[in-house]
Amino acid sequence: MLSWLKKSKQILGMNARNLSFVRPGNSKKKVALADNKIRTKKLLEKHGLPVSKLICAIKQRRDFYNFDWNGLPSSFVLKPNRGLGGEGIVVTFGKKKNNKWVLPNDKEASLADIRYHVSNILEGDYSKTSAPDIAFFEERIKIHPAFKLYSYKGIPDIRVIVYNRVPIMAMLRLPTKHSKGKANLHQGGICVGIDVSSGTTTYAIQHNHLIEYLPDIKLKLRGIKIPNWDEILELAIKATIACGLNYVGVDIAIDREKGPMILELNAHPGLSIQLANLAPLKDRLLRVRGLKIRTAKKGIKVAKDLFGGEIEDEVEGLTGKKILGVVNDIKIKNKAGEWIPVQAKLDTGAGITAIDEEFARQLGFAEAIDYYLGFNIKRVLTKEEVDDLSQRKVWQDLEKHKDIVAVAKIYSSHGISYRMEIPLLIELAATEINLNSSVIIREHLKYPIIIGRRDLKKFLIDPTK
Amino acid sequence: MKNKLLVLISLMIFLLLPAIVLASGLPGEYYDGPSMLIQGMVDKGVALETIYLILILPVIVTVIAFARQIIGLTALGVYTPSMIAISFLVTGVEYGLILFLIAIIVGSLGRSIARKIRLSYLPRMAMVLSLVSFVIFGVFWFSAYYDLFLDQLMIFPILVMILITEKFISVQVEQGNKRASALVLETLVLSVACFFLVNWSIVRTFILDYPLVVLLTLVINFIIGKWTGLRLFEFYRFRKVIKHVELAEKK
Repeated sequence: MLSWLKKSKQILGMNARNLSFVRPGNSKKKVALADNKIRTKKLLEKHGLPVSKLICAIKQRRDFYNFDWNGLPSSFVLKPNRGLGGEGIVVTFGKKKNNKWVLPNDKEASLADIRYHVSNILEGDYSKTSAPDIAFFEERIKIHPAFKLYSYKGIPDIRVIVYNRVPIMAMLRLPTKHSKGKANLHQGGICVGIDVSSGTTTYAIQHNHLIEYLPDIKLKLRGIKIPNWDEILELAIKATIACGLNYVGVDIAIDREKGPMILELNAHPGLSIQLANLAPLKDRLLRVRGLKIRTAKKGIKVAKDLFGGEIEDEVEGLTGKKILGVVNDIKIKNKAGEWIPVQAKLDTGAGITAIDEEFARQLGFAEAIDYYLGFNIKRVLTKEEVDDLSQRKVWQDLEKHKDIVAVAKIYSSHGISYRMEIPLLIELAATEINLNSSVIIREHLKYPIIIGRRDLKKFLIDPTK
Repeated sequence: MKNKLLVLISLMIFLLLPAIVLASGLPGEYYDGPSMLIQGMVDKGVALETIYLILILPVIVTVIAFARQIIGLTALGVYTPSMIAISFLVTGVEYGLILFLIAIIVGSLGRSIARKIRLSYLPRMAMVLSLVSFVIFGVFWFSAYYDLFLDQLMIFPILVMILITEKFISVQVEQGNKRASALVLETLVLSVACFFLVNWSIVRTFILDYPLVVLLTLVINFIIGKWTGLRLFEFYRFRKVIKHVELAEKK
């Protein structure tokens, strides 16, 4: 119980967010700026940061009557300037022959529908205090192929929480059928946590419940690699520097052609990101509080150093595959039933595992090897010679020996070899594996056995390990 | 460190304040009716009920602040639940709840109908509220006809109910149906809780005996306002994250 309370202290709650992080770092004037989408867009543009292009803003009734409605493009996004949580946003995907726009939920909208919606925005239907608002059209961001399978109609976006110029935590928000193509969590979108150091997704939540797969199509939500990850982090930090806020949620979407683009800034970013990452925010915030970070590069480095490293266990947990280095201590069972320790190289360049002939003899396969040598097959063969062997069906005769389970033709840079395969039981990373290994002279090589792709399906290889 | 000292000093001042109020002998004898201060006002013709309502308002607002900051009940701001609680005092909780539910249901229905017809925001809202008025008028008629709740038919609380409908509908538009319904439910729970607190005879006599005790709410609000811990509901909301937290090893 006591440790549970202690643990809970690392979670960021609403009170602590407002009192300890939002209020000290975010002045009222700058919060008002972040709440104003058009002004934010202009400011970011001035700082040379990518934002989706403003098509037109309708500020008041006069603009509404003077606006050239027929000049609207076939695809656009219509937003209220001070909208809350994604309400009041209309996305159109194209124009049909009947002059109507296509909406995400397979419905269509006529010009009259669009005009009515703009009118409602102007009257403040979607603004915080029902105060009159501005409506604006902007270019629609085109979905990146990496997300195409994962999102229903709308555009997924990435929320990065930046504090003190360090990206603290991130999540990917996926629009679903249920959320009508919108990516906001409370509308039924899916939130997927992202490991800050590697840009790989970890856990996922929908309606505040942990989920493993994308509903309907059963696609795994873990382990998605976010494209342009470092660029996204850099953009997020630069946006906070540009707007002068110290604690912000930056929303970024990735355009198919233009790359990452900033959608909007949020001075009071929600707390559910902790659920999607299954990680506490307050702990991380306190760790970067007071650090002097000048450049975006430094901020990224700090974030990766502080909040990385867990991903390896994470990947193991996610994929169910163990991560191994290139050289491993393994054990091989010899014919007498004893485990013989030996060093093995994991070689993803080789298809089939290969064992040294002399070593195989020691393991008790001498009889089989002598049987094979009795066929007088050359160590290195040409294409014609191999074809000849195949035609004579030499492999049938070879496999008559009980220890020879298969015959492999191995193509390498110095020619083709015609090898026998023997069954082995090895223990690699505490896992017992039954495999067939080809036999070849490897006396000039460092490791008596290399393990090939065919037997490594349960593992991931990290060459730096 | 300096900050903590400051908090301590201000706390002392805030704690001393009510102590002085209590010790100064302003209130009358505990068991013998209201304090002299209030007795004087009542003698001049001010209604005791009105005095109680104005004194209990700080208590209600403090309860609402506590519910928001410490428990995590969001409700529709401070104004709405306190208004509802006070109107319950006048109409009685059963009749008040019935009216409230009618207002909310008719309001939402009206909104979804009005959405189909294309109208500007204000006229649309006006139509919905008119509809609510008509229906409540119908309830009046029903009550009059069957002699039900006749003494509780008062215009002020009913007006409050209608106005709250507007608030509810605007939240519905801004934040979606589900969120709005949750907020209304939280508001109702809070209002009913406040109603029972206010209607509690012990609280009533205590406040009327020691009217300046109400100043204590300043201290309580000061403490609530400085509280940065998790809200009660947040412990539940983040329970899975808490389970996953790894405590750093001690150095």
